[in-house]
Amino acid sequence: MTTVHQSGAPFQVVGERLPKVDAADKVTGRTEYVDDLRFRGLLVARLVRSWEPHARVAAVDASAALAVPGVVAVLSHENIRKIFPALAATYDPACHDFERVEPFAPEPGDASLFDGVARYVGDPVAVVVAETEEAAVEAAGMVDVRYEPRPPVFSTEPEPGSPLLHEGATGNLASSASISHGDCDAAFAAAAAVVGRRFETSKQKQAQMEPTGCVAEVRGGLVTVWSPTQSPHRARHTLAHLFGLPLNRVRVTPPAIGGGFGKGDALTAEPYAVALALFTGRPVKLVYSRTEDFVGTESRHPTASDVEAAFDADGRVMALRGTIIMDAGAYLSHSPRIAIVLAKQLHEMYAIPNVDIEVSVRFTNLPVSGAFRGYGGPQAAFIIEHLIDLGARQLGTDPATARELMLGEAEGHLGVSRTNVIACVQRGRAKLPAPGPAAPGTRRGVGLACVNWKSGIADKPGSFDRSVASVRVNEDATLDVLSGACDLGTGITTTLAQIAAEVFGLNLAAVRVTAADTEATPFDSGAFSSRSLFRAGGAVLIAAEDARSKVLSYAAEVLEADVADLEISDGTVSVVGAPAMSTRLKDLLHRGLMESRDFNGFGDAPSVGARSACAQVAEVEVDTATGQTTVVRLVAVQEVGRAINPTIVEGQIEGGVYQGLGYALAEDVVADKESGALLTGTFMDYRLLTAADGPRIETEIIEMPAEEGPFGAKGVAEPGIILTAAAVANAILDAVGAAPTALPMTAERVLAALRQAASEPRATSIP
Amino acid sequence: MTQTIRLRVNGAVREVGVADDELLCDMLRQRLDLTGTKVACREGVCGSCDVLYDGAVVRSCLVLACQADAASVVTVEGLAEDGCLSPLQQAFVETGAVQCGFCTPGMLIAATAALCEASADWDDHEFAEAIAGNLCRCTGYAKIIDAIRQVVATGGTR
Repeated sequence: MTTVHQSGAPFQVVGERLPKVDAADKVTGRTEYVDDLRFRGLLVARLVRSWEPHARVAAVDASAALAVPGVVAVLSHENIRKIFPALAATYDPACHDFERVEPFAPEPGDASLFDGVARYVGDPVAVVVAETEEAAVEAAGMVDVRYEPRPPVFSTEPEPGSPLLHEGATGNLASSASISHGDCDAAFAAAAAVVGRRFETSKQKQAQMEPTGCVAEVRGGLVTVWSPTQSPHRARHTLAHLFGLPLNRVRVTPPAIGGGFGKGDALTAEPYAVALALFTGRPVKLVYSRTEDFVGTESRHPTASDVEAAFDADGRVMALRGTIIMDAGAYLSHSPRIAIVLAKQLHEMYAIPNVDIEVSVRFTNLPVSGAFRGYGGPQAAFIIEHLIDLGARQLGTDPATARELMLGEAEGHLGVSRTNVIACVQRGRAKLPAPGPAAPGTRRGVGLACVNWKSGIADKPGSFDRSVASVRVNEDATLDVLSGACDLGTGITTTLAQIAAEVFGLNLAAVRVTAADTEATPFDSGAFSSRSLFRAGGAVLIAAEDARSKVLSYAAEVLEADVADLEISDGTVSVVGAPAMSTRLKDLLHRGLMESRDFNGFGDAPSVGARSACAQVAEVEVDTATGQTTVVRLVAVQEVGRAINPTIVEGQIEGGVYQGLGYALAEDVVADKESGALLTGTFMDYRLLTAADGPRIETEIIEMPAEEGPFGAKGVAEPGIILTAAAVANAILDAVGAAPTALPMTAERVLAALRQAASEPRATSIP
Repeated sequence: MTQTIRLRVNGAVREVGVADDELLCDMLRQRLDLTGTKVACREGVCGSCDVLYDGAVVRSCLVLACQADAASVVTVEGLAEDGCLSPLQQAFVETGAVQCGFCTPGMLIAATAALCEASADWDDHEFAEAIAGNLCRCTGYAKIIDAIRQVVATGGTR
């Protein structure tokens, strides 16, 4: 099913399909996630959430709640807001190139730990803590909150006189980004074809299987937080600031993590649990219900865009202009950065010469939008990749050929090669060149989309993106690898072990990785932006090489040989070509221990970037009577630098593409238009695709090693999810002559597109 | 109100005091410390809390603990025998069917039951149907299906 195009380097552990180091525990139920941890004297917390979409919290009467047996405390803005100012949950030292000169200076739209205003249905207004979950749930329902409702804002359309969500945010504008270069007017005037559409993308939820939660405990002057965060060091930094503690008095340590996909890149339950642990002196657990996870953690930004493209006769996009409005929801979070990424992804890869794009992110009284795998990429790809196919259709040219043409001409633009994107496009076309035969009453089509995507964020000057690792060499020739990388289920722990094992010529069992515990592991910016393998893997490689060189220079003394002539293989250090001159590694290390020699390695990954690439080709079958669309085949070709563990790489691609397929066909967080309450707060209403709802994802890996990455490896996690909706839309266009430009592409929307196509068979431009 | 029930869990007879409104998943996790059974939705949709109940797959969040009096329940902790992984567990490990692992216990229970009906000549979609009651957000299901097919192909049983 899968081909790995090997780049031919001789490795022993790297490139092997080794089982994940944590899999055996996971299949036997031994793995502990937050809700599985056991503590003596544990208290259970429950949030009281607003049912008003927008209101001043006039009073919180906790007397009835406090009378429930087992209730220990109720906190609200009436008793803790002085202690806890702006919740800086969005402070993100890894990304402050985009904003925030003063890292912790509050900005309009920052969330707070109870500021006396509720800004969406579900916004926490108080928290109850009790001896048992039953008591906490009962008491949370008995906290009497008196609201003074304000008019809610549910629309991202700027309306004069709209009530403001945040003081200082003019007209509810959370953030904006604009890109303008070239001469759009001239390019549109000279165009061979012009195509414009209104694009609407949905609010997709990460919907990781583990409900959000954490446990906080204060012991011996140390606040410990067990949380499935994706960025333990940044979480520690923010929590320490929030509670006025030095960094060495806060420890953040994820237990096993039941999925993240960006959700864990913002604080959620942690500040409440820490506040309560400090207040009560006892360990406190706060775990969200699934509905709370839907309402109380961040989603992908919904967008509404009017964008038009001007094409030359060969189908090149010569100009792109329009407006994009993103719904931030009630708080700022990652919005400013995602707006910039979205805008860049629209035009940079093809080096579109004339661009006028205005992105605005607006506050609404709805649940918060934030980081989600792809981070603005899926919305951008849905627009630009579909416009390319619409233009080609109008011109009668081939859209994939137009892509190859543009990519070839953009080679080297902004210092980035496009050869890997072109390679993916060509392999994708070869694997799925044309649709198969359609069943009666249906039509089939194929559609392609492509992207390049950065690994980490360090390819931008001045950005802060750091991974540090250390490798301890034990005297029995085993390694302890310490890395701040966070394994959300991605397999990064296994991959890091493979990297260290390769350097020392050891097998995987000789390496143990301790990942992401701020008490034990060095700084790491976190698991986001496809960076863990590229950056943390880079740090582990350097640390392992550092340790190895220390071992070899000691061996050179002992063996009276030149360091350059030594090699480590099968647990033995020997002189190349003179096998008699050798020592067992463990004997050498034991002797070194007695002689006080230090073999510990340190690695700090250099601040560099790289771009991986992906192309996806979808084949759909559309029922022309109902609009029901079946994705028959879905091919994903991804260029990953080096597949250190091809099974893990395939799993990342398959999972990402399947999430992308859900984005294309089914998923949307919907709120009631009158009340603002979520209509899709459960897995019954928010439809995740089951195994039977999609085809088996066909993956193909291309390796074009990047010198910046460990053994050439680049990030893998995100390109999969970015392209699927665009590829499916292009396939529907190919099948029936039109496709929905709103997500999800339900049967109803496909049918509407089909009928429109029947009345006007050619795409036309917006007047 | 509480009552005492007597049931078989992973082969051993257990007597447990349970509240009248206590769910089977909570009894397993909290009273018996069998936290391998996961609760991801608590409303019977996702399958992460699946257990074998008198041989059939049930959502343990939809069963009251007191209903399980005299029943025989198998959780993910009961799939390995004498410290050896079951063929299905082994296949999940080898094929990369496990990512975050939160759906894995329920998926293994559903797949274990499916082995009774599965046939080596099933196509992808037939295998997919067999686990369509269990949600996984990480894998796209491909490697989970590979794992089950591998066991079926080598004649493995529950």
